[in-house]
Amino acid sequence: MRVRFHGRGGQGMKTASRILGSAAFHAGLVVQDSPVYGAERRGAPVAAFTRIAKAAIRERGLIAAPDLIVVADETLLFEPTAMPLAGCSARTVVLINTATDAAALQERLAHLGRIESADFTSLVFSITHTLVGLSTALGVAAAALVGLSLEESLAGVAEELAHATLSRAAYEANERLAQEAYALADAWRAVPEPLDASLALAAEAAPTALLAAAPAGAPGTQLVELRFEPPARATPTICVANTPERSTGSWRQFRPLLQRDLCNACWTCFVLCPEGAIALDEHEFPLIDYEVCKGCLVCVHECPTHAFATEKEVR
Amino acid sequence: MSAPVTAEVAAIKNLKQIAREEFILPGTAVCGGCGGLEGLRLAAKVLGSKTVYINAAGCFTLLAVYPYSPFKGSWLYTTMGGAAAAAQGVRDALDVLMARGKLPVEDDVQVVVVAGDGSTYDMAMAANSGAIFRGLDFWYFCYDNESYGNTGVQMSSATPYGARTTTTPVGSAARAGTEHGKKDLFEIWRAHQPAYLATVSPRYPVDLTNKFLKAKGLRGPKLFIAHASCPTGWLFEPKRSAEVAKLAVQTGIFALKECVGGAVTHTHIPRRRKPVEEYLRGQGRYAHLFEPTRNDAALRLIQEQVDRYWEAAAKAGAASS
Ligand SMILES: Cc1ncc(C[n+]2csc(CCOP(=O)(O)OP(=O)(O)O)c2C)c(N)n1
Ligand code: SF4
Ligand code: SF4
Ligand code: SF4
Ligand SMILES: [Mg+2]
Repeated sequence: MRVRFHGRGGQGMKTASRILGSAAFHAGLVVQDSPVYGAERRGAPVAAFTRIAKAAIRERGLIAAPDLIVVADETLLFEPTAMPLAGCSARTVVLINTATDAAALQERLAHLGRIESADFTSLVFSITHTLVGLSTALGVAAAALVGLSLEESLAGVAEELAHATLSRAAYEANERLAQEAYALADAWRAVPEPLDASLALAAEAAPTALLAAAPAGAPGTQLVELRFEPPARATPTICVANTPERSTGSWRQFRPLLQRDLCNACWTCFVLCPEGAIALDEHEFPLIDYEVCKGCLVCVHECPTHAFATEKEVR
Repeated sequence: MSAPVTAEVAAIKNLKQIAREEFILPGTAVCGGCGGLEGLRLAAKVLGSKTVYINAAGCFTLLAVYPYSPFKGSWLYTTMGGAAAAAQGVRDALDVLMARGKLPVEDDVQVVVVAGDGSTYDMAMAANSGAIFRGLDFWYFCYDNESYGNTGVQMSSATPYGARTTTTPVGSAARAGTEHGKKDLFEIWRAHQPAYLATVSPRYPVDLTNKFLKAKGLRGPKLFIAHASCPTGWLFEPKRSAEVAKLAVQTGIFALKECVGGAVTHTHIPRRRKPVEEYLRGQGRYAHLFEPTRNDAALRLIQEQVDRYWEAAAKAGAASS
């Protein structure tokens, strides 16, 4: 069984993949799990892989043709640098954490296989009162979908949470969350076994398939033109001050929204935005550049007059 | 050793005197809420665009990932131990170009090392010592996130006592996580008698700006240790980045100070220091000091260390005035 998790740095998909791995290990299966992230940070797309089989797994590297795809953040579905549905076949089951229902998504995504969806974010929030715990919910949901038992799933959670320092209350909340997530996912049909259940095939499609499918011209995919420089120059003039072209605005999960009538143009948010994503207009009111704002919400937290509202991003 | 080049630089008094122009642009790949980037961004507002940044490998490698760069100035990438040596080479080259009339003297291009604590406190100790000893005319911006952040938060000699890192996990033998105390880089550098030496915090932008303005008038090594609140490594929500940096100063854990001509001045003295717990509590790297059981001994140790620091500072201040 090949399971690929997609999320953003900080959402816990690496942990989710480990929870699934540990659960399968407790069931006596052979397991391999590994995360991958580029030279980017919290908020940027990340992926993690779990392989499960009954005998030694010889396959290595990224999973290009998954049996189950778990998408932690629906904003990633149309993100060209993430491409979570790359390598899907009609056999692939896609589990999406979203409040939108599966049928509506099926149409938008043009995926031939089965899509399951649920609002895990709200479930997590209602039980743990934070967003920490999405890893537990999705790791366990994946475990249920690949046919592991509740006991095995809970053992996987316990194993992984042992590494975190949790209060008794937080630990118990996580256990409750795991049980609810399991019950939710257990109602769905299990993911069919892959045709090569032994995962003995070494030759998978090239891992670059993960990224290759981004449509040309989509945001974040434009090429940067480099001027020719004579080779005798040790360090050619590379583009200077061109990072705004990278559009880190897609990292954002929450959007800061200025309510102008509450703002007294004090400059605090402009000075404290680590990105420099805030400019000041002619009346010295802040202007956020949403193309690059990463949604760290320092501005919201620091504003002395509470002039910012926040809104969940929907893409 | 190093002579002042201009006499007085007017200090600013409030936020609205901070430059509106950005010299490090957004869209970089570092974490949202990175306190180190905020510090560097504010520093760059004083340093301007006629700069060559010399970047030791670390998180800030991610600032300029080919073919992108956020800097209006130039950027050169070096090994973790070699930034100060590279700064010497660049400074010398600039001086030669100016002497040959190939670079306008009035451009006054500045060389700025940007390096993390793993680089600065550990690997580059000797190269830095040499450059400062030689009186190299350069700036050094150490963004101190108190760990090897880029490689997944391993302990460095800047990691404070009690913090959990991936190489100092909490166990029955090491209940506090990191059991070493933080190396006192400020004092090590002070012993070298640099032209200017200061600590800065991203949440004290006026203080930070004034220190860079003051150093601008001096030739020789201008050294900065910037507290770099790090949501990813210290385990707190990114929106609290500035708040965490502020609590470090309010609890007295991070002292804002400068040193010119050997004498140390505290530029902000927290009169009624908050208990250190207020800083520690909100960070996952210290969670084990509170849960599942309170580690009173460790908490007391941290508080006492801070109290001793400020007692000594008060005594030194009283003696010098
Ligand atoms: C000699 C050497 N050892 C190890 C590495 C791998 N490495 C790259 S960045 C990094 C962490 C640097 O830590 P620090 O200087 O504190 O900067 P931070 O990543 O925290 O920003 C390490 C260990 C390296 N580049 N060079
Ligand atoms: S911090 Fe708040 S009050 Fe001040 S300029 Fe920004 S939005 Fe306006
Ligand atoms: S959320 Fe606010 S502080 Fe953070 S990057 Fe966006 S504008 Fe800047
Ligand atoms: S790990 Fe910390 S220091 Fe490094 S980029 Fe992220 S927030 Fe900044
Ligand atoms: Mg560091």
